[in-house]
Amino acid sequence: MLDDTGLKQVYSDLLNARIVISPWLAGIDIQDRFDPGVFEFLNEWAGGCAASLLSDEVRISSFNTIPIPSGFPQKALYETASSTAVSMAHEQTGTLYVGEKLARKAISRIELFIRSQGLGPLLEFYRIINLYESMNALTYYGEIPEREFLLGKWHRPWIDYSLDDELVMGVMEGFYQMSVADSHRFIALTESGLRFFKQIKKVLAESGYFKNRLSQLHVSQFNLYTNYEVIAQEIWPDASHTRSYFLDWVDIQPGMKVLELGCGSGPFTFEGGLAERVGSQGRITAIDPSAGMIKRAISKLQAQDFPWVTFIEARAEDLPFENDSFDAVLGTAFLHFTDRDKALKEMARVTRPGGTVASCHPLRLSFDKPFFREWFAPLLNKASQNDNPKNYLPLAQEVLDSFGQAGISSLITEILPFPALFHNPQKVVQHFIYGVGLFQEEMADLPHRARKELIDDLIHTGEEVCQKYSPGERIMDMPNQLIKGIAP
Amino acid sequence: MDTEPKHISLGDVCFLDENTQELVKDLNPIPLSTIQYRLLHYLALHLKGAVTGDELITYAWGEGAYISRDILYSEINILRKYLESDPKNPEILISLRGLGYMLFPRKK
Repeated sequence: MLDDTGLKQVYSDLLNARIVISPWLAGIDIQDRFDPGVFEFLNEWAGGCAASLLSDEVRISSFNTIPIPSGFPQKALYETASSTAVSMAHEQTGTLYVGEKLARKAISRIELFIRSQGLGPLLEFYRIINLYESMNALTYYGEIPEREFLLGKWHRPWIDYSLDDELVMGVMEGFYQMSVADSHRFIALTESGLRFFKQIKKVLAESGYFKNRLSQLHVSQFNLYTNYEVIAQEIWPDASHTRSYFLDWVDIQPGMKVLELGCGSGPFTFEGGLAERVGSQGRITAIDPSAGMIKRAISKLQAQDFPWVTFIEARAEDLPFENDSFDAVLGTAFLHFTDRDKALKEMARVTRPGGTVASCHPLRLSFDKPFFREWFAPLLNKASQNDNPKNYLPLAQEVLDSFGQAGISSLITEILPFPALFHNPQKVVQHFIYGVGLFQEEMADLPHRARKELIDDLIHTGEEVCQKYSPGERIMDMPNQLIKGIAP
Repeated sequence: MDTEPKHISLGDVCFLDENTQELVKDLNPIPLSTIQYRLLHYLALHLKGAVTGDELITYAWGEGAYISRDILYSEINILRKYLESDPKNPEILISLRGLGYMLFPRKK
């Protein structure tokens, strides 16, 4: 069995093999498996693979004297393959749709991993992350009724099988205990279960697992949020003016060779006026790491006549261009999603000496408006309980420093806030929680049911807040930084 | 005794016989288990409408049953074998990701 160091190593190997073990991706809020053909294909592969590879050697080295329920390895392989496939679908198409081609690709990643590392480590890691989900919920709730536990109703709604194997194993290993009250049976953690939970939580934190878990949770949420742009327009109607202002401020001239980063579906390229400004004598290359966004941008492009615009799927931290390729390299609302120092170094590299590097991005919010404090109180309280309240948005000075460190000089910056309107509770909560991802770290360790209840409560509280405060009081300025400089 | 035939139409030459609890397709009666009958009955009552997996489980097995969705899926698959000409590419009993299931009338 793997020790703490071994588990961390396996996680890093799984990441390198680009295998995603995020069982909720296979089913959260989706209520169904893949198309029957794809499901059967994956499930039969998982069964066959488990049957042929679960040798005595694997049983002993990975499970020692712990019994292995017969369905466990197949479920582990099925869920690993399906969450890897869903994550690939998200990266490549921006949807969660998995067909047989993607299913085959996911399988080959896993087979490659098993050939070099064996089946055991994958099964062990899968077991640990599922125990984390169950034990986290048991710690949060104290106890869970047997039926809700077995069907995963409160903590693992994505499963479509019963957790009876896990319960039997957990009781046998001394992690879970059962009790009877009010003519129901309940599951709780034992002392030893709690110790084990704390230990795996520490190992998973140190391995970087939670950081990825966060973005994988966001994948499933964001994909269910289909009307982002429409709602964003309603909540911050002035955001589009900010883009046009930025275009003038950076002083983009017709005929320039421009690289746009994090272009999304093209709100700056098209609606923001970049394509028109640069014109037919110039050239725009627009990139985004999401293939789905690039696809949407290309379909917008096909409806318009801008032959000087090209869309490419690429990451800001690793630009596929020669040194000194562009007159200006810029983007809106992308820098806070990147590894900032790496991205700026790359941006400076591909800009010709004397060319412009610029960004327009949101800054760290201050939550000091009374209506906001009241509305989001549970999350603000949770944030203040953390040793280090988390906020992924940067401060203006931090961005200035990063530009300087990348060798970009003659820096000019301006703060241009635009208002966010908190008028429709349902849309506000959807936009800030699912779309923007505000407070996602504070919510990540809540079991699924608690997270859902919290969101329902936020909408409910929002309705009260909207009654209590006038529309004028329910406006919050979103600080936005414009920054530009000269490439070395 | 009520001998009046009670049929719920499932499209062309296909119906659910409420008296015998059989699926009758091209005049051939196909016997159903109680669970299969209840599932198909619920779907037939909501023909061309989406029903969730949880609704189906509650209707077929009863409130509070310890039934996971994989058990529902295997019953749905059996129903597909009875209803569909190609059960792997269903056209009558469709899965709707995010919504559940929908039953469409058979077309011959």
